[in-house]
Formats: sequence, structure tokens, C-alpha cells
Amino acid sequence: MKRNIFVAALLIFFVGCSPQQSDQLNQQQKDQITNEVKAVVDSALARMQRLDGDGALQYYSPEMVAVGDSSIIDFQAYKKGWTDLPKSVATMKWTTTQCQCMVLTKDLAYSSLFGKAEMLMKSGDKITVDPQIYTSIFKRVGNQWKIIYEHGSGVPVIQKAGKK
Amino acid sequence: MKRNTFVAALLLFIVGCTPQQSDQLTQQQKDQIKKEVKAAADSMMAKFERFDADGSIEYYWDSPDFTKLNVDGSQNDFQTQKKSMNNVKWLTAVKVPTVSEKITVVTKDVAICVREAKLEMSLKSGDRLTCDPFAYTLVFKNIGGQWKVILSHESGIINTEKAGKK
Repeated sequence: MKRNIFVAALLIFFVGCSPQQSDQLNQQQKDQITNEVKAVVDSALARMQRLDGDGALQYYSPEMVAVGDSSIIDFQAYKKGWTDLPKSVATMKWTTTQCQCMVLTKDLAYSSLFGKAEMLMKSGDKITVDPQIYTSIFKRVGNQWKIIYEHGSGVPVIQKAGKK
Repeated sequence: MKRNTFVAALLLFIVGCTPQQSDQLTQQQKDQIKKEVKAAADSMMAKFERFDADGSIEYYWDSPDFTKLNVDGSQNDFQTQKKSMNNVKWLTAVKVPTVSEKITVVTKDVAICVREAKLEMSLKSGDRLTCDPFAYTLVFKNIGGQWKVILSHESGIINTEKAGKK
């Protein structure tokens, strides 16, 4: 009887521990995570094009770190950038050329996004960044994917108002 | 006696499962990971500056999933990166001094190292390439006890200073 209880407890031990081995994902689980992360990327881009900073920021963790203009910034600085954007930008257009997603664990993934950003400034200037590349690292917080890290790069080309 | 055996088994269950909650790291564990990642990044860059391509490439993940995003918007896989690091005949010196750095520990096996730096390259032609500010992200993963770069992203604007001109 004692032996049976011990064997049963050992079974509980193995079964109980197994679900925590989260790194071992099957292809279906990876595809599901990829779809979820890409949906967040698409949604954030849609909000970015509407100059909806508050809407886009909901996908970012307050502990996030970002690289913008080759400088390391925190969430507050990133937020300020979004808040200030509509003051100078009239319209923004984003065209995705490629989006790759890599799943690291069930709660961690990253994306590499390639595209073209076109901004029409209120001054009449036009800024084009082609290619613009974003590396974003996503962490699942509760049931939501949050960006905990972002590195953006690209060389802006400015076309002054009234010039071709 | 039966009760004791069951309690012992339950303890085994709890103790056995606890170490797998890897995301909950103590400050000491995080500091240790930061130290290891910083050492790996420093060693990798030092080897790169000495044109020790074989030594430097050791820190990169030899996998089809490895990606390096370059300043000019191009993308390297592991093989392209290896080839590029060996193709330095046109260079006489390269320096990448760090200005500031931040290391974020994500899990016990994943950490992000980002650096603001300067890139200075001297060419055999006498030309000089500089990038200031230059930023690079290194995403490290602990693979078999070694910290390997699984993703790298660089940014900045390259300036060319022709030989004999200031």
C-alpha cells in the first residue's frame, strides 16, 4: 500500500511538473503564437498610421526599453515621442515588406519588421524612411502580448516643401 | 506511516517543481546573468576589434534562425555574418567604444544587451568610416551553458571621410 501511494505521488510529481516545460512547443503552438504576435504588430501599425499614440502605447510594457535615433530611451521618453508626433506630423503611411516572427518560449517571442514609412509634415515637408526596420521583443503578460523592447532603424530622407 | 509517506511525496512534488519557475529570478541571479552577458558582449567586441573573426563568431548562434540587421537595412544570416567577419582585408583598424549600455534580463535564459557606441573604421585606401551615434542590440540566449547572440540589430548613419580630406 505504502509503495502504491509513493508511486502515485511520483506520478503526480511528473505530471504536475510537465506543463512547466514551456520551451518545448509544437509547431501548432508556435504558429498560434506567431499569429497572435503578428496581430499585435498589425494593430499597433494601424494605430500608428492614425497617429493614435495612446492606442499604440497599450501594446507596450511600462518597463520597456527602446532604441530610437541610436539612443537608448525608456517608456516615458517613448510615450513623449508619441504624444508630440501629431503636433508636427499631418499623415503617416506604413507599407510592410516583410515581417518575421521567432517564438522563444510560450511567453516570449520577437519580430523583425521591414517596411517603408512615409510622413507628410504639417510644414509641408515629406519624410521617407525606406527601409525602416523594427525589432520588437514581446512578452506575454496575463493574456496580452506586450512589447518589452524595441529597436528601430532607418535613414530618413527629407523632401522640403515645394521641392521635387 | 501512510500519512508520512504521502507528506514526503508531496514535499518531493513541491520541491521538484519549484526550480522550473525560471522567470522568478532573485536580484542576485539577475546580477549574475548581467555579469555573464556583459562579459560575453565585451569579449565578442574585443575579438572583433582584433580581427579575430573565428573568436568573435563563437558568440553567434550557428542556426538558420540567427538574424543580424545591419545599419544599411540589409540582413545577415549566420553564414553571411561569418563570411562578412572574415572579409576584413580592406580594413586596417576598427574600434567600437561603448558610450552607455543597458542589460535587461528577460528570463534565466534570455537577456538583451543594448549599447550606445561609436563606430570608427580605417580603410587601407586611407578613407575613414565613422558612425556616431551608433547603437546595437544583442539578444542573448543561454544555449548549453553559453551565452549566444540569437539576434542583432544595428543602427546609425555612416559617414565617409575621404583620404587626405578633413
